[in-house]
Amino acid sequence: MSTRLRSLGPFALLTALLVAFPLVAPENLVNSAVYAAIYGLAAIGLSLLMGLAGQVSLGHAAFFAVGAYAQALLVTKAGMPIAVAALVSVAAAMLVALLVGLPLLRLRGHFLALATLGLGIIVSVVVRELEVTGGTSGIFGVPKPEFNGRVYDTPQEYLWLLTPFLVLGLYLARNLVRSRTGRALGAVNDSEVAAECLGVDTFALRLRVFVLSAGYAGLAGVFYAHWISVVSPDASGFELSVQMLLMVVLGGLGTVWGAVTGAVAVEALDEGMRAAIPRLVPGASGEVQLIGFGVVLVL
Amino acid sequence: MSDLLQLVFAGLAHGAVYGLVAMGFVAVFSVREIVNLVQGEYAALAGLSAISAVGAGVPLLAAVLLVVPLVVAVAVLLERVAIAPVRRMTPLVSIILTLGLSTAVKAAMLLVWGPQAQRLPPFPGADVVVGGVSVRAQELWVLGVTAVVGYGVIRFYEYTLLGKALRACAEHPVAARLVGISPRRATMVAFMVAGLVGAVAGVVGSPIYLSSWDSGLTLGLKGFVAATLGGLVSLRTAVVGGLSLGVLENLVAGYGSSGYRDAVAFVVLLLVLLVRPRGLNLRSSGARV
Repeated sequence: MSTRLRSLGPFALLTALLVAFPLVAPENLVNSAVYAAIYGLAAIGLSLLMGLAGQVSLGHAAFFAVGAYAQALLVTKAGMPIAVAALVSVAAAMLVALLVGLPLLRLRGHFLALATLGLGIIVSVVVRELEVTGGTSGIFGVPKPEFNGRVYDTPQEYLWLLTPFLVLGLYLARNLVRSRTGRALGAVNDSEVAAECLGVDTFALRLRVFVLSAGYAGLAGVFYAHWISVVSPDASGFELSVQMLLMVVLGGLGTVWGAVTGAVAVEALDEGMRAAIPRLVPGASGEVQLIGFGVVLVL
Repeated sequence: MSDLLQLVFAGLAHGAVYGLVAMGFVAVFSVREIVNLVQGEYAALAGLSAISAVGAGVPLLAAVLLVVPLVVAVAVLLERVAIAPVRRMTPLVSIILTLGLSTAVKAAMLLVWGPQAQRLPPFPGADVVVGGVSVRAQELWVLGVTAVVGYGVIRFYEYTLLGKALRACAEHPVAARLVGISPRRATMVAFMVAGLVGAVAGVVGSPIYLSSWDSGLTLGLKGFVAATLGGLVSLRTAVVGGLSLGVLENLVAGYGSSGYRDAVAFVVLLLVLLVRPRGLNLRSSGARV
């Protein structure tokens, strides 16, 4: 029992940190923390995919965008309650992943990376062209979430709303890594042939991890939609996919905690850069990645 | 009818540029099994450098002849610095690495040339009208240059000793070493070829497209799609794939909605990966999956 308790220690610490942070930090830092937490959720999913299944997704923003757009549409156009809409939106992101993954995960190597890259671009073209998604301007007026009469509209409140999801998401991911599934996937990464000979169904496992990771991205998209209240094609851009990838790589492959650290690091870099070179605001993310690249190389 | 011909012809010119870029992907992948995501950046870099050279008063053709070797040198340099030292190249590592490189090159171009898109002046020659189809001289240049360079590269890979050595490395690196072929040198040569076709695509394409720091992304991705049509290993199918892709895109833009133009390539990519991941080439045999 005591080892189980001890293994929960880091999670308790993170929870405490997230709860206490908004009380002591200035508002603009809390604001950044909200973004870090949102992208962190998506990065956890991507980290599972890369670390466990050994696959890269170069279009993870597609699932993020599916979650964000579905949520925005369901809440503003269909008037669905937020919690129900969130469930549907996450399911939608996972469904897209299932449809793409079903035929593609049978292939090895580069194929998933390239197909997801294609998917990311198709999603971003489609949301820009379709009328229902509001074209280039996107969907406006996604309300701030409200539960039991409490409105989560300040960065502080929103971070608190995010905390249980982030911690729980991390806990689930950590458990998955340590579970039978996680160990089986580790074996697959070491030697696919050996693992398959021992009866590991590689394809089914990879597909499950891929769909799950899309679910994380979808959930992040849902939170994103409510937080910035406008969902535009930016949410599906290639830049965002690269940023997520960078978070995972910076944090270190194969550890779910790394995804969160990576998200914080990338968000901090992004903010720092935006302050340092306002002249190049549209290119700011490029600068961030230039630095990230140095670290990437070392890995 | 002349509408259709017009669209098809303009599509061929676009497609030829994709075809050149696609050959770059194939040149590297068939030797090292790396999907080189920097490929599009070679073209953007060549286009932008040529524009600067022309701006500095260098005659157009001299600028082109100056820029192409320069980009080849950059391609080789990047390979030496970043790709050669990696010992265990898995798909995961190669994707992250080349993505990082491409981002770094993009950032450098943004710093040097700024965010505006620019255009290289068109190559000399008069535009002509053939059977109701107006043909820009630049489009003829693109097609002509693609034909010459494409022929040269295919010839090099399939008929020269060095080209055969390169393909031997892809087939079986250990066996290739045993007969005295250096895989390190082979990789370097492959990247030289990739830099060459990328740079050529950049300079001949720049008067039609615009060149900007981020133009390499879409160009590279579309070239990649064309290369997948040949299962990433066939130079010929890559060129044909590029041409067909250009035509298809133009038809969709002309008869459908131009906004969907950029999606065409990726729908094709997904379909190819779903149906025939080893490429459309009927003769291809080697196991890729």
